[in-house]
Amino acid sequence: MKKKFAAVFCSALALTSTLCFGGTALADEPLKIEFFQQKGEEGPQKGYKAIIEKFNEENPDIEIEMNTVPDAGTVLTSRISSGDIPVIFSDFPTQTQFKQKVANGYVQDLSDQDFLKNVNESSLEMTKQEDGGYYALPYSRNYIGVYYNVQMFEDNGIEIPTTWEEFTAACDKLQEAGITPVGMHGKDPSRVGHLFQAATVAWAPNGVETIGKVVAGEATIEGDAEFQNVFEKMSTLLSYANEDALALSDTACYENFANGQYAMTITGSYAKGTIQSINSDLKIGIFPLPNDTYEDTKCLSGIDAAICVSAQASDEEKEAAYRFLAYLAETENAQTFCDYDGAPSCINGVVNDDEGIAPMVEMINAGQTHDWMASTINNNVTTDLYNVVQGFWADKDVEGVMKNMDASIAVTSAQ
Amino acid sequence: MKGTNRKKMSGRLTFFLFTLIPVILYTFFYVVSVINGVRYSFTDWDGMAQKFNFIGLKNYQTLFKNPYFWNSLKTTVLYSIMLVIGVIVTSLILSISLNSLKAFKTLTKSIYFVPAMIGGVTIALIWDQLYYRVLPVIGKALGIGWLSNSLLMTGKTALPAVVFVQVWQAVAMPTVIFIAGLQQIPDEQYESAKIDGATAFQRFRYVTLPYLLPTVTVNLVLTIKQGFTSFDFPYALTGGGPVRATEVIGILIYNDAFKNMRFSLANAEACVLFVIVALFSLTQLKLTSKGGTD
Repeated sequence: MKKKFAAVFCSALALTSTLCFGGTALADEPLKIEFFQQKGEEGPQKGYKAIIEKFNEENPDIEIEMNTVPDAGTVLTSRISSGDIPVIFSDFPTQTQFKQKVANGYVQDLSDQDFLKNVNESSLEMTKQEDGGYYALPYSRNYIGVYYNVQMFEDNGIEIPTTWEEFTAACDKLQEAGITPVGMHGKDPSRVGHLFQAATVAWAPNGVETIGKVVAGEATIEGDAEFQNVFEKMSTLLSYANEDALALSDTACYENFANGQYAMTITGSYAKGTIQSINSDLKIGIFPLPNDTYEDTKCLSGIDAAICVSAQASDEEKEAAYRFLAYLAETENAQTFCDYDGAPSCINGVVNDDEGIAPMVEMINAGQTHDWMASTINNNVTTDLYNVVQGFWADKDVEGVMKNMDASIAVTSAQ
Repeated sequence: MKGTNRKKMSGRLTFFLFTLIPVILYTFFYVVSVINGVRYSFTDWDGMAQKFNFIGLKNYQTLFKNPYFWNSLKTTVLYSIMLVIGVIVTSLILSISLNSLKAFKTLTKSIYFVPAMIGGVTIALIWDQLYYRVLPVIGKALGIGWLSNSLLMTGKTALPAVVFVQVWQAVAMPTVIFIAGLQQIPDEQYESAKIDGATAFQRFRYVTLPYLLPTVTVNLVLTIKQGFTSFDFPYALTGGGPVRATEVIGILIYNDAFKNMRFSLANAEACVLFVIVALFSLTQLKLTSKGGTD
């Protein structure tokens, strides 16, 4: 009896397994292509969805399936390392991690593809890899900027500040009116890091390069006038900020800002959708973190998740992927994406009609930008600097933080 | 005679066949990955490359020279000590008082068991809000300086605050184990002690405690292991901050592997943790098997 049961059980198992594996290759089915998409925010997801729906309709032989998971960067890394590379995926082509992926032959060279001609030149140049090739379709720009509550600025008669002096004057005015000028969030070291990067780019024109030199053992942060300036200004900035900055997570800070507790908050383009979803009536604008004069202000802006093709996909899959990328790069479709996403587009001819971010777009289009530190400096080094700066937020010791930065780089660059 | 033997054998074979799939899965997903993990700790694999080189003990050398590794080890030990004290003391008090309840015993016991059924991250996120929104209000109202801002904000208070949240959850299980231990103590012992004029403390010291000692050891080892492998509470509450104040070794491993792309080094860290936890597990096995034969 038992034996019989076992035999039946085993054969049932065998049968189901053959059914599972044998049933996939049916004729006339569209070719399913996975699009592993790293942006978790609502705006870009909706944008991609709208384009994919249209594409699938117009191309019945291909079916693009978007896949977005939490902690996408980690998932993509582990999928790539286990050989399971999505045919199409979005990634950050200016970062050192991406260069590793290219060096290992995981990413398809797109240099010969016609659709790259639709990309504006400065964005495309940023994505150039060490071998001179282009491995991604840059789609939109990200940035760190100062978000402000338009109503509060109007009520207090404040114009958008373009210099540091105007900025502090605006903060003083708000403080007198009993409003916390800036909401800052420092619980998560990586968020402190984003502000640190924006501050370095804005207030130390050669700051990122200096860090590069310190990593190479050719310089020190201690005694560097530019970084002295960065931390003095940051200390001033913190004096205008909420007291509990180090206790605040990003979402809590966005909630407070959206509910009118702060007049400004400093964060990235990634936060726009979240802030607007908390309070859809809130009118917000974004301007670049100002330096002493407008002319020598630079804003932190990189290439946001760009679209790549797996080098290990089959030729058929690659062809389908190219068709989708070419479709994405059409001005009309890129416009659809931009309307949902709200960030400046990399595709020629796309118009960003969001008045609120005009000061940001203007500076990016003028080329007054600097890429994220991860484009030239090892992650290992930058993430530890985030911890050091988080310590500065607590003790505000300008001399100390510069010494600590040197010490931190000495440890992390030695490994 | 022979026939029954054969029957027994074929019965065994059927049973074995039933376990075959789990055994294969376990071997594949556990044994193979552990061996691979150890192997990678001797290489320079970055988590992505197709090729990697064996570099011997270099990862371990880097590790032992790295001040952040020692810092995280120290944090982990501190974390475990605080966790053990918090959990054992609280659960002991809780179990004794729950055990002496006359009515609603089962109901009360189940209420105290609820935290054990909620996921760690959920609890951490709830406490995160409490630390940020509720406690500072209380602190300001009462004029207590250290409570006027989130406890997770400063390096000094962050670690105890994270441990407190884990204690809140981790107390449930040892309490149940303690109650089981308490129920094995014969009532006559207490009666005769009472007749001899023993006070409540003396009854605890000379009757309850000796009977409870094996249970204490079990709970002790379980909690130490929990402390050493803790990741979810500190990760969800502070992410290791502020300034590495709550960076336990689990977070260090995660960051090195997935943020800094140094998988082989992270594997070496994990191997060190593995050895430490294995030592405690062996101790526990020894102790519990001894308790069983006595």
